[in-house]
Amino acid sequence: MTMTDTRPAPQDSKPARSPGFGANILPLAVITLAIFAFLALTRENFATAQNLNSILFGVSIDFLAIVGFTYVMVMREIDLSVGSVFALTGTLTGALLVSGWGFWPAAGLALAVAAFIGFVNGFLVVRFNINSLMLTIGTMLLVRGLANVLANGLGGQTYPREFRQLARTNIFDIRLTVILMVVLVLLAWAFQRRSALFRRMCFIGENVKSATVHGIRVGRIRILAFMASAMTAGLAGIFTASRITSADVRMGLGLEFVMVTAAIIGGASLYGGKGDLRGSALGLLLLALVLNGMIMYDVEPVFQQFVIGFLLIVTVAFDTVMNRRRG
Amino acid sequence: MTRIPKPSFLRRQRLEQESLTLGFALIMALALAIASPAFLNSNNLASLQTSIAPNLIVALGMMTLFMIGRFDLSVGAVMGISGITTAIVLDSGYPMAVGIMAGLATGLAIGAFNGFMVACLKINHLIVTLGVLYMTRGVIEVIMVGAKLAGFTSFPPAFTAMGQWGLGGISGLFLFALLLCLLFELFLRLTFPGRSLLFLGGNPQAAEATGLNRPKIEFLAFMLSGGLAALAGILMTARVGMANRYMGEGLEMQIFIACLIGGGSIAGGKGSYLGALIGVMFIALLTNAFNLLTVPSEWQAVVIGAILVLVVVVDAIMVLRKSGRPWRTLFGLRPAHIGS
Repeated sequence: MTMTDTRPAPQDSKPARSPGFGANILPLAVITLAIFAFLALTRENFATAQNLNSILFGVSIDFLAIVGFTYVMVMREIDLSVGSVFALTGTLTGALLVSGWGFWPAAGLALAVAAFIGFVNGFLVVRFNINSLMLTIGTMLLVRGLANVLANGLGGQTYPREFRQLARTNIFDIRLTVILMVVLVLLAWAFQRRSALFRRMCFIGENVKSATVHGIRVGRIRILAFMASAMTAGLAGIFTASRITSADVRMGLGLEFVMVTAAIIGGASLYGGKGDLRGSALGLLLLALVLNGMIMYDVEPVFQQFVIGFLLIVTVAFDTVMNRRRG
Repeated sequence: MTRIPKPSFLRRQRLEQESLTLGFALIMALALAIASPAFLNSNNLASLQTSIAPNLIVALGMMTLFMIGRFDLSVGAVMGISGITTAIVLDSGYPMAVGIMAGLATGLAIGAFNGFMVACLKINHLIVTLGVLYMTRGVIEVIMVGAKLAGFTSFPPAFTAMGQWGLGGISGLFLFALLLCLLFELFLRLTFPGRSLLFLGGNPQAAEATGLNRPKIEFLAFMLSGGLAALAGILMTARVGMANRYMGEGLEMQIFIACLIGGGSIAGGKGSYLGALIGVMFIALLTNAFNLLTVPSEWQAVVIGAILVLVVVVDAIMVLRKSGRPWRTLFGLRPAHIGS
């Protein structure tokens, strides 16, 4: 199972025709494999099928949310509202199902709400030239509040059975989301190598003014990226809601910072112009392995918060120092 | 020659946004006094003072950072850990002064770490202070593992007396915070280092060209913020007689918003300590209104988030206006090249 996930990575980074692009995938894959091997050799209950399955399942759901997020970061913007949108979409879908809607209309409406939030974020950033960091902190609070209103309205009610089965859907004995992740990574690989749109996004991230002068529709691409970010977060939220089976106010809390960390580990930068979905996936996997390893070594679970904060600072510090050397 | 019209008093004193927020706060206070008879109750007024005092002390540090274009999201966690440190030291029998020094030292150390990362290594301040927020909360959880939910509750009488004293219904803490705010305001308006804060935030290149040492000022401002947060944490511990893991949770966002609506700007170069006081008052009144009108707490987050979005958008519009964009192109009613 894990092999299907890690095998494509070394192949991808071989044709290094454009220097710097995707160059850190190989070392990242090696580090991830090293941590995997270390845990597998030292803890016998790590390399069990059940544990690996649950790690991969968790990563594959979070991965859905990081898809749009990575491409927002490529354009030197950031979307901190993903965690809240994730919670709102999941809870809204569940709430609609509880009140008797069908699955497709409920999920469709929830995704439309997510898209609307993304549109508002993008529109305000583009129209009024607002720092996206600031604005999305505001939408983060606002949307989180709405999600909590919904969750408290539901109480501890569990969602209908069909919805709970959604995340557990298997295709050929493999979870749907895992397959989705593999497909998306392959698509992203093609997108990043072949698409002019991705090149434009990198251009915008490196130099907005110059991109505008060269006739790139900066505003439109930015708004679309924010919408994509909110919608992928919403999709992940629907799967998560189905996985945790009932409304939870802590759903997706702090997710945005896990994503920043994972995306930067995977080659994105706060300074824009870079980003790689394959790397982001590996970054998420790496973080999940570290957290799982801590549980295996009986580290206090409350210490996880400390480690996430620590990793966030270290990766961003590394990113900053690398950028200064390059510039 | 046309005479340049003299700007109004508020504009000259750079208090436009402050007075606007003050107006809103007063209207809200008036509306509350009419809508809810419990508002003017002495208990409620006392609790308002208790909520304003520590927030104001923290906001003074945050406003200093806002002036130079930075902010600190770790203040809530710093407040919590300083209170706990003081409680632990007092609990193991050391004198009061040692306990307070230990709490302050913790806050100053965390502030110095923030300052070092931001000023010397030039790392994004949001990420650094956020990471520190997570780390500090993690440490608090580890310290408090196995402790009761209420945390530390037994303190020497002199320590609790420090938090409880008051003058005729006005809490001593509140007076202390107001005095501190006044001193900071005088520092800002009358001394050179105070003026240079706004200069540095308003035009970093020019300020550095005239010889201001940006890294040093940033470092000191982060230490100040950490130290003030620690002070607030210690005083709060003395006031409520408890140090637990919940102290200061979510406080950073409240202070952040208070500073923004009190006239600060994320871009720097704006703001005043008087504005911090007014912003904190506004947020305290808002929270109080929610409690008096028994609105569920989830809606508080919605309203605070909405206010933040609104303030950020208005701030951005003002910046665009300053750069000469007319209203009609600003809202997209007409394409930019036809207007102006």
